Amino acid sequence: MHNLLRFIKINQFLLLFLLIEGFSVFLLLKNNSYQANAVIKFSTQYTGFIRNYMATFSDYVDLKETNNYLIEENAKLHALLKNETSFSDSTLIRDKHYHYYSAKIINNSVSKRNNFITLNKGSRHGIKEGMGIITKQGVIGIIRSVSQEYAIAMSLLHREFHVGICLKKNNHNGILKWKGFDYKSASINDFPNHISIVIGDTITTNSHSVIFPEGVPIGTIKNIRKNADDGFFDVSVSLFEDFNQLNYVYIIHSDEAAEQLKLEQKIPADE
Amino acid sequence: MNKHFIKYLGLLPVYVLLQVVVLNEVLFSAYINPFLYVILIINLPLKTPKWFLLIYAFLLGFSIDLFSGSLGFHSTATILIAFVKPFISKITIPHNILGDTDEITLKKVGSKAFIIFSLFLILIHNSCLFVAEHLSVNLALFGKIMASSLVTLIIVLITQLFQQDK
Repeated sequence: MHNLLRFIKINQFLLLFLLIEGFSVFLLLKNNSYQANAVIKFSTQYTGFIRNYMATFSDYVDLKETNNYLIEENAKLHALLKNETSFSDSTLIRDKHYHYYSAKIINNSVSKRNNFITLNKGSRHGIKEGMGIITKQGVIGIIRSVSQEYAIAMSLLHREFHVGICLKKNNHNGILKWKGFDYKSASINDFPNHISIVIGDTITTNSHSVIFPEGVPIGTIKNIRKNADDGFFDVSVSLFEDFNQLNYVYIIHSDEAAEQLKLEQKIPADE
Repeated sequence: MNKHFIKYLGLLPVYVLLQVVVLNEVLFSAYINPFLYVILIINLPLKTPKWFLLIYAFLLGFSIDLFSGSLGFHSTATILIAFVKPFISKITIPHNILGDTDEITLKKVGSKAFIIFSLFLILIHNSCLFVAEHLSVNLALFGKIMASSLVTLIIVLITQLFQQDK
């Protein structure tokens, strides 16, 4: 016992270091757990308040750009409205019905491997975990944690984010992921190399997702490389959306999605 | 010593806010993200009680983590440099320059020793942080570590120019 106490006394710096460092690494590894989420949710109430306050300054600077953005979006919506009425047949296979909530980004990063976005809408506005975030020119992320006034979303620029995509010209499906470093491009590694793709082809979301609507534009193919090992293309996609200049986004949610998910979960995975 | 405790605990929220509100927002390039807050660990006097050094490093890293949406990354890296700081200082800073309560600043230890000492700590901090984030080691990551470390060092040196003489 005496020896043990002496050992602790001599090595107290090392032991304290191991204890605190161990706790930190534990936090790091447990980042996806319920507990970590609870900590983030709690702290977002306060960090969100500070962010929101700071965002009011940048709002004035961005007014002109925001105006342009809204005008463009308006034009696009007008065009869409016109097409909708002239093709009444298409209503037969109506898309899932989506609710749109507007939200402002009050914090965002692009330089890390796993990036998060903080939004100024929370559970008080009807936002829930698992809702999708889009803009007129791309998929942005998925809500991961919600406090009363704020929400934190996993950005497309995150290791665990993948979105189902298809080639606009021939509906070939694939999965888009982000490989880190360059926030202007993402990659697809599961196009088999017998299909015809060329640089400049447009990529949109596919119809399989329960989170994102079909046909949200994502980007164009920037570079194609044949992977000799596995018979698939390594495709890099240049994203339409500039993640470093995000300002206003839409949080979307479909009631039918829950039903689809429930139905799909009834089928055991091994069948 | 108590004077230093209070000073550094007071500086903590200032540097955390400076980091998350200004430096994390200014995107120099996808490869560069300076972490000025390590200056607090660099400046702490050599004879700071070890327990204070480690717990202070944890508080500092954890505060930055809370703002970045994922826990553990910055605290792990910051505690690591707090731990290696006494060893690094032994090999880079000449003996008998510093009194017990002197902070480690550019003026006190001289520019050469200070630059080497800071660069060591910053490199260890950035390597630990980026490797934990990317979970891989490749040339692009190496470039990111180097670029970020150099820019952090430059900003750290700039802050040293504004330190007042005592």
